[in-house]
Amino acid sequence: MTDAPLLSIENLVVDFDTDDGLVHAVDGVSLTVRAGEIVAVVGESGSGKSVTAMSILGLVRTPPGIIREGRVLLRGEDLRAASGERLREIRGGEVGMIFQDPMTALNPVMTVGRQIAEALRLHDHDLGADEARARVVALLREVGVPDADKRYGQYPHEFSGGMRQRAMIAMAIANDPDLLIADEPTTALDVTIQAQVLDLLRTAQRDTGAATILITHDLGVVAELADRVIVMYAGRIVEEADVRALFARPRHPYTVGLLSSVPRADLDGELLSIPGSPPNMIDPPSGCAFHPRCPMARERCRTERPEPYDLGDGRRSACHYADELDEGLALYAAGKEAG
Amino acid sequence: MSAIELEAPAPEVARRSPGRRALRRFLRHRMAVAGAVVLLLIVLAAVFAGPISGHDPNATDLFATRAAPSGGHWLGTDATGRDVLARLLYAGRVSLGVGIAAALLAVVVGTIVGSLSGLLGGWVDQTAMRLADVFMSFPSLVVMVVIAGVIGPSVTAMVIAIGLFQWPQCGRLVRGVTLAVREQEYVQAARAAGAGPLWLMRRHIVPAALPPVSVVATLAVAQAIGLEATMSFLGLGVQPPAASWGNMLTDAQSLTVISNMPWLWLPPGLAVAVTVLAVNFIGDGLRDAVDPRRT
Repeated sequence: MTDAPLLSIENLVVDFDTDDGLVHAVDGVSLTVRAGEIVAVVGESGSGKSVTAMSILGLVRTPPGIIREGRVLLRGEDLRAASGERLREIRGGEVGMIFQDPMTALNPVMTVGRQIAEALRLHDHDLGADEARARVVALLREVGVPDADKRYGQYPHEFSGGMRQRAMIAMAIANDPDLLIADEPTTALDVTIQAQVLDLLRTAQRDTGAATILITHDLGVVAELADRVIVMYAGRIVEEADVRALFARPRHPYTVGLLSSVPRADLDGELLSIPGSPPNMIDPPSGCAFHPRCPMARERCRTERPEPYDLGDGRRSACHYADELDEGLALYAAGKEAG
Repeated sequence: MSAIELEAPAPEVARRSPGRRALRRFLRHRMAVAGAVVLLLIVLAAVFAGPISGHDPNATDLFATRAAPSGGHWLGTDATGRDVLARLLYAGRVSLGVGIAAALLAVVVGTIVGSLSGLLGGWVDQTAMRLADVFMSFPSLVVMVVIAGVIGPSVTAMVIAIGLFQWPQCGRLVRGVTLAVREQEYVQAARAAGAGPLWLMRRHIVPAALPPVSVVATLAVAQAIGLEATMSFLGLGVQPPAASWGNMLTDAQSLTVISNMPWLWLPPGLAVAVTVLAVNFIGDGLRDAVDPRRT
């Protein structure tokens, strides 16, 4: 797949001006999404993954947000230079968005059906009320809401969490987008519902052929859905790889930490947590932002900031010692056992 | 699409929409219901002023001036022999009309300014809110007297003047609601679906602001009725021969009238008091009814 990317973000830098100081939320993120692929963006809270996603549609509020630099290209069109009108056309049209908490992402005093109908009517001003209703009912059915006809006139509080998220997905795919942005789509749901919603996301993605950016901190979700994974830490991309390659052989110590802190049924062994806590984004650590928590940090990591570099096969890593990772970690693990 | 349908079908519960629930709460508020009934009677009386009174409010009868209430004139006649009941009812039209029109003007202006202010922020917000401060810091009556003096007293001028001084309250309220609603994820979701500021205003902000605005609007009606009476009493509002509760009270400025002819001042005075009270009770009831913290 060498065709031109559907979406590319180039060197995005976003700060937030808060009372405590300038928060460097996103610090030079570049990524591409090809048509039809599912890209997962993974990281802890505060790693800048949501801000990156919001920046695509220009939904970062300024102030307090400050977009320092960077370009967002959708099929070559610079969205940061796009007019307000064009942006509104793209939002919900070519790019659909699914929010984390379906509880709060639906207006509680408006019926669910009407809210989805509005998503349609925002992009088709001539759409009649009856036709809109028919299309919404069809959409609700498509996302597996039973009794769609009756559900149309119900309020969000009459929907269960899973049903609400289905409604959100219906809204996001209403206008047949080319790109779906799903911001933690299953985080707010019960575990039992999560699997259903993931299934639905997958079918929706397959049926519409929309490329998907999946923002999550749940590596289980990543393994389930994604084609490619981008790992973010402290507002920067630390690793990017094909999903299988990433799980098989991570090439950044942070990814290693993430992977070993997930319970896996197929492996015995201790669950490890990453020592320390996420960095203060007002005053991030010098050099590699991960060095204070990295088991194999050396002097160079403290002083020199690693840039993501190509490892071949579409892999990127921002670790000075990506090549020595296996040995280094083995040494570390041995040392830990001995101590 | 083969999505899994594990969930039960929509439950058959008798639903209450938010509006229905608010109505229920309002009906539990006795004073408010009483207020609504009284106001309805006043409105009906004003609407059917002709058939009820049976007199022309401006027809003079110089043989029966300041006549005490009798079978022919239930509330007596005034200094030029006009039927007080007829004048009272026709005055009701003017007073209620001015009150409602002024409040409506204030609410519309306040809602538009307030929501744009909250939604757009920045210099729009700053300008609008400082303007609101200016209006709120002026003694409204003095300015209204000046306006009436400059452009001449008329009902339209009065409505505009009253509306001008009442919009800031509504504007600030709506701005507050907007600031709160703006942070809601569903507004973010609507923006992500392509909604612009006007759309957000219409679909999300105004509906959310409507309950508290209805309370403020009701209280604004009461205030406007009071202001209308004051202005007309001072001779700067509704001009004779048209009747308004305020200018009817003007006739009652002499001690003789006050002590000996209560039918000249008691009815319009009571009308103002009862109407304002009724409207305020309704406002109280509405406030409780639309408060989402109550069930």
